Amino acid sequence: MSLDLADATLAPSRTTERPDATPARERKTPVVAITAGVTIASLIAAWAISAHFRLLPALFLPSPVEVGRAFVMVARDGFVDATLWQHLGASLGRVFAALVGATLVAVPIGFAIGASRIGRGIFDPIIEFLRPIPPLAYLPLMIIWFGIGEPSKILIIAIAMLAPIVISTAAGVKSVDPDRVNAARSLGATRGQLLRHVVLPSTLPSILTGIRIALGAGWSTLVAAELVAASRGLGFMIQSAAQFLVTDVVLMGILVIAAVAFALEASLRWLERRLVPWAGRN
Amino acid sequence: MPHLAIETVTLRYDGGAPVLTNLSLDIRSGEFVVVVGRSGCGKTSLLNLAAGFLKPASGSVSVDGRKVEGPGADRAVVFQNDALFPWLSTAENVSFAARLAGVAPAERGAEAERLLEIVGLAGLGDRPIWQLSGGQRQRVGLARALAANPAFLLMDEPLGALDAMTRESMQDLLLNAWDRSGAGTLLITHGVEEALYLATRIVVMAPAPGRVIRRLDVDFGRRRLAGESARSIKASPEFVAAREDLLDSIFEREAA
Repeated sequence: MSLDLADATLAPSRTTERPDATPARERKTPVVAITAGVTIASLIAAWAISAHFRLLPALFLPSPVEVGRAFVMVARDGFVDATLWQHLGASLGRVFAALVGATLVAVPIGFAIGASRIGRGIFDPIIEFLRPIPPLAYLPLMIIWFGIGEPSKILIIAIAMLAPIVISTAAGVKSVDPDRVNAARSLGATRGQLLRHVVLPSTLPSILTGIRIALGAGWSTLVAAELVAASRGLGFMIQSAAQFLVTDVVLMGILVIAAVAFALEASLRWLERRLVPWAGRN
Repeated sequence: MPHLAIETVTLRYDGGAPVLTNLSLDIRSGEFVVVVGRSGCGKTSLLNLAAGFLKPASGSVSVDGRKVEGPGADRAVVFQNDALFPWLSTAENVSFAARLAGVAPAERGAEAERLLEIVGLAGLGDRPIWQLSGGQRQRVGLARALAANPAFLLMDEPLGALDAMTRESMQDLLLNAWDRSGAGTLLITHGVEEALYLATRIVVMAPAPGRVIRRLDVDFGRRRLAGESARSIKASPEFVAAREDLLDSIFEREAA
């Protein structure tokens, strides 16, 4: 949530009398982007230099070129019987299946917690219990209960996604502007219409934020979910490579996981701008 | 003729000290009642009672003899912070009451366009709400309330957040909208000049506990509608005298 707070302070504030004024920050030098670029370039340079002079054995730290070569090799020929794209596809499939399931369960629970004290009494303890448990801790239980197939893998990811969506949705429901609710009531809205025309659209930005955080949380449990009896997936690929001490594939896998996480985050932010352009402007 | 009657109401929040005591107020069609008073005197609570957002501990609120049980489209509200729906376009905000009533989209669009013209926003129907200025947003809020064709128009400091220039032009807009719709109007404000300029009747409230300490009839708004200029009205000796008189009423309790 710290990310969102930072964004909120950067968001253009509402102008009183100049509706078309562009926010000043668009015309400023992109200091953050430049600094970030320099940081990344320096890190890669440091990595390349230490690898080039073999400050560490190649087994510990392969060079950027070797990692790049591993990328091409795995993309073309595959590693442990599947290409990089098949590993990636398997992982993305699990994460999106988990996301659909988690959203369908978490949004109604979030509404129940946000809208009713009884709902809060029922679901709050469950969510607060699940939230801090690391996925590796409930992994054995999932396998005992649901076997070593796909369902337990998807479930592990889905559980990690549940809390962020529930908490975010509940916060969104609680922060619905009471004046907007009253405005709709004074224009003749029934309870059902209030929910559909005011509460649901008001909550949509929070739900999307929850989904974005959940996608990050789910993606980061990938390795745990693919720990047992997987034959494909980025997490599985990294673990196999580690067992054979193929460090360049391990590093490449980590970089791919990071790049995909970045792409997911960026597409969710794009989606937020498209679906809820008003968020943060009121 | 519709008649909104607030009779000897007492209001308290969660059983605490009374916010309003023994307060009565009548609003009839064609009246423009303005409530003034210092902050904390219960002005907004009074409006919320009339709107049906709050229920009195004792006394009654009724429209034409029927007890008010909750909010309704016969008493449309304009809010201080506009309370518009940012996920809807300007036109869709204006025709929100029609949407709730299940009116067809084409008909809603025509109605919204007509009302936007009344509040001086013709052609802005497709704009997102968040691209409008504060003054424009209050106009949309007013158009949305007028669209419900209410018997009563309840306005809670609708001009309070606007700058002085915008407020002046909005005051004329409110006068025209009131004159045109004939709705019995209740406006809450802390602006004494605004009260004198708009009201047919001014109600002065005092705090702790909230009560009415004075009522007076004025006709400056009618003079404006008859064509006299705003500046000549506000500079006239009777306006200045009425303003001083009203300020005395509001602050005398404090001095005593």
